[in-house]
Amino acid sequence: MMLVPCPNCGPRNSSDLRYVGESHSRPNPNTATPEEWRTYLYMEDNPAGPLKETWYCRSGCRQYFTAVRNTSTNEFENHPLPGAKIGSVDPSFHYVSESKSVEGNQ
Amino acid sequence: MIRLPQQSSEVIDRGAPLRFTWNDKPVTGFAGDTIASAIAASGTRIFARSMKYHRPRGLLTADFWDPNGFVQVGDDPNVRAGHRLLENGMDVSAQNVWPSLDYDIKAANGVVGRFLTAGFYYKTFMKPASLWPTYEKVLAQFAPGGKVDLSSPPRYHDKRYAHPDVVVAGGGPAGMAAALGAALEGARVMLVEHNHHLGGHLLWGTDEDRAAAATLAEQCEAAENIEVLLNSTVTGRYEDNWCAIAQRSHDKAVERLIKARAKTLVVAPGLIERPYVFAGNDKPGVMLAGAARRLINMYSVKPGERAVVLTANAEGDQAVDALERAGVDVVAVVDARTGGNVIAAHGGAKSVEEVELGDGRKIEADLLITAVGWTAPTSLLNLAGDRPEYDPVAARFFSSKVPDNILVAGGLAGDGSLDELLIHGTATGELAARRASHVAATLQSLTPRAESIAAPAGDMPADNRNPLARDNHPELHRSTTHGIVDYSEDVGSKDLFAAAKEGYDSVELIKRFTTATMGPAQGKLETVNTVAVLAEARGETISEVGTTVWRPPYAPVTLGALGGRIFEPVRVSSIQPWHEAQRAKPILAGQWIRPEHYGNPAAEVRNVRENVGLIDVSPLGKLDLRGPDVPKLLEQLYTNKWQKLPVGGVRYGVMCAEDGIVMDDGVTAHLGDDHYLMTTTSSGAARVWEWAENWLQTEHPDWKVHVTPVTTAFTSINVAGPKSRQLVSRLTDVDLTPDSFGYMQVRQGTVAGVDDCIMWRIGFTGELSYEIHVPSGHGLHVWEQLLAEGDDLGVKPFGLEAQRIMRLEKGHFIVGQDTDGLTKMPTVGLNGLIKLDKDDFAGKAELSYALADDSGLPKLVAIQTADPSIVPEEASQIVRAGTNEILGRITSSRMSPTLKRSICLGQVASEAAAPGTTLTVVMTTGERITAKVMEHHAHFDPEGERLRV
Repeated sequence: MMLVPCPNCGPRNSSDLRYVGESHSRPNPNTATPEEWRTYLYMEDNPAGPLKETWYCRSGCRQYFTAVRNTSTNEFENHPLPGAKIGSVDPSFHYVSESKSVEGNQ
Repeated sequence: MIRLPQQSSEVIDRGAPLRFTWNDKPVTGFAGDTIASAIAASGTRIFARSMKYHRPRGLLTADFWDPNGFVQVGDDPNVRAGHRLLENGMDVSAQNVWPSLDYDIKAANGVVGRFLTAGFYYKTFMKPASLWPTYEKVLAQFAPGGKVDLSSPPRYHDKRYAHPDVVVAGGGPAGMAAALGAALEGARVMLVEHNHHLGGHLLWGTDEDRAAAATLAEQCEAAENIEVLLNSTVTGRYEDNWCAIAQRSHDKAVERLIKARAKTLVVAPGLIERPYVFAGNDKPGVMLAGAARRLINMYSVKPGERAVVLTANAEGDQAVDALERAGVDVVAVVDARTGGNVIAAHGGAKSVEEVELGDGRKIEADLLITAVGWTAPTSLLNLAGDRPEYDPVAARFFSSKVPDNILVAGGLAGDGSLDELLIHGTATGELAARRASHVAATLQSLTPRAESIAAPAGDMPADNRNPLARDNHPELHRSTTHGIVDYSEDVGSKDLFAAAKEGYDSVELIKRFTTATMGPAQGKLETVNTVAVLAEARGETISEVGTTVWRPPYAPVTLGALGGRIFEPVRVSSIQPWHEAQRAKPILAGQWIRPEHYGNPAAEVRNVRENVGLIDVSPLGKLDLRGPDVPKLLEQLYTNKWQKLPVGGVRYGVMCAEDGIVMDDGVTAHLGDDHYLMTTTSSGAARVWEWAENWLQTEHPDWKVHVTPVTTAFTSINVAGPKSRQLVSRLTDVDLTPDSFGYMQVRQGTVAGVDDCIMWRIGFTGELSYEIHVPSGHGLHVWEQLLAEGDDLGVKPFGLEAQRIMRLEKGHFIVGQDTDGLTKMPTVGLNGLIKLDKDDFAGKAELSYALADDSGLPKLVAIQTADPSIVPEEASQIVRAGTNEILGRITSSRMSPTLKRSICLGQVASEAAAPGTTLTVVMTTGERITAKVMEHHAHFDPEGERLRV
């Protein structure tokens, strides 16, 4: 079981956390087309390599955080900073990967 | 085989005889014997029948991996006789034999063996598919393995979590040296040995070997920071050195699973001796050099009378010494290093009688010992991503690239004298300790503290060990004849050639097609020979063919150990002691134990409808919400509007996930300025809390809201029934008159002398009711006061079942019962609660698409059967009349004590959802009945007059 570096609690068993999923920005629900919305809901980049993802430290500090994990090696790049709350401190939380285009999912 | 006179090397205690039965015959062994050694000492040569051909089999390796050593011990099937220690009174019998070990009818398979070649089952029993159930029954009779006794009492298993610095897998000389080396550097070490004694191959070696082993073992046992785990196996290595250790030597648990997070792992499992492939290589009396040495040196068992020894290494040479010491007549030593070879072992059903050599000689013998090389058990390294490489000079596989937090020692790393192995092992342990410190410091630096700890400077300590040399060893896999490659699966070299010819010529394919390496030994004995035979069939080298990937577990683990002891908490309300005293029937709902009923749920329903009842609803999820932006959060989570809910108001809401699927429902009360109390379904409490935090932390960190789960801070009691107002008014200072405390309102006050109770009027049961949330310490007091004060009103407790009946009478759906993972909100018929004019809420996008055209969505409807006495089972299918086309299903059904008829909720396709539609319901018996879609969800009091009084 891999260790996930929680910014508040330090490295913890992944079973202490909940894997929320890839971090993607939420489209505007008032203007998103069904294709855009469902791409957001269901399509994953699933790269072999660095991936920005969201974790929830459910058995520890109960904070959501993002981390970049290399899916090929399970190494965490740029260990998340303690106290770096999503959305407030980390401005890069909302990101849309370039590969995630609606056209690509037809 | 017979027991030898006492020897200095033996591990048995002749002063402690143990009596047991072998196939119902009484036998005596000694403490320290394995089951196999004790049976062998009694003169038995045949231990088992082979899986497919039912050929008689004797001991091959006489250790854990012996493919012929599986026995039934009492109700314990598939016991490894070469490993399990003998106990007094054991009832041991052979498996896979009928009617007896010596006379086995299924041995006829051997005669028709040519039909049972690789892929036989796949090819023969494929067609026609309709006959498979018949085939299956017949084949099951031929399935190998012991008998599972389902009436056996459950046994205790356990789990443990450990955080050692260094885990050493393997307690041979290299492993012991590594453990001592690491311990001297200050590391906390877990030394895990698969067998019952530390020492590894030294145990069946020379006197000097055993003396060295004993000294090392003493040092390990004495070292304060080494924990020695005997009869335990590191069964897997996972990410970040998460090691699974199966401990079979625990004094209370049958088997204990240790989950050890090792900072570094030393892999030193030694080498496993490989069989040789030739005609007759599975006859009783053909055994490996290690087996002979173990039997003679450890258990003082004479394995035969006249022996031929095929040797390619020092172990074979030492076997010759051991045999001679045991008084076995070694009639020929065939040295493979100088070109000697064995062609075939001939003989009858019970034993080898003659050995045919490469030079044409035929020698009478009842024992053939082979020492032809090694399998490197690289399993744990494989699991860390290593792909072992074959070295033809040493004739075995070696690791190619392992991560920094794993170190290899002993035979996996190379060859050498005992001193060389110990020096290398010690250096490995020292390095493992230094690297463990580095890992520990890195982990500490990643943990935030008041005063941060700096990360260790530089990389992991470099590997400065002098590598072990590799001895030359002849490549010996198959002789010029065909023989068995996988003993436990009865797969021969001929089968492998045939499979390769059929196109299954990749190593992973041939393994699956022939099942070679897929038996209980899991490749420990047969992988290398499988690869070698395939290489021969393909005309390539072993390196070109490659090898299969070892997967966990390294050795079998019982399901009991994996199931463990489950650390799942059970939750109860503060009133639970009272429920138990009243002999309420308990039901497990999620983590909660709660009363299902107090004897008669129908009577409980009638009492609520006529008088007044109490139900303990403490498991109801409760979240305390505070802050100026709570209304924004509520608007985000629920589909309906919340900005205008006044203080003192309660509102019902439904939450959807972002895909529009109904996720939870409940009521939320506006208690005061910036203060709300939300309730969730009992099972959804944790999920909704995480969901609220998700919105607050990730999307709206600017909102000022504090969410506190208070589910167990309050004991929740619902007082329901026409006399509930009368009852509650006797105990509270809150004004209950309908004009000042109306339906869907909340008040705070004192109940039965308890301050700070929260009380609201809602109507899940359909009756006038007050749900009282009491600070938990006083829950039982309030419950008992309500019962005492309401005696003249006929107050009685009611359980979950009565509540479920009443809510069904009222047509209220339960999330997860009447909805599932595909139920979008328009299905449940509450479209009025979806407010698309809000700027945003969870699920808004999907719900806006769904409302634009919801004709494709099923509808939740109330259903009544034509025959009022029939209650269709929940999940009964609803089909189009006269066909099997599914239109929907019954989601809830009960007999209504109030209406004295069967009532249901169900999801049906929109075309069948109009009131008055006749439905066909398929009962579990297959019988079809008719039912009707009702106009309202509520079967009873659809206008809701009773609950608004």
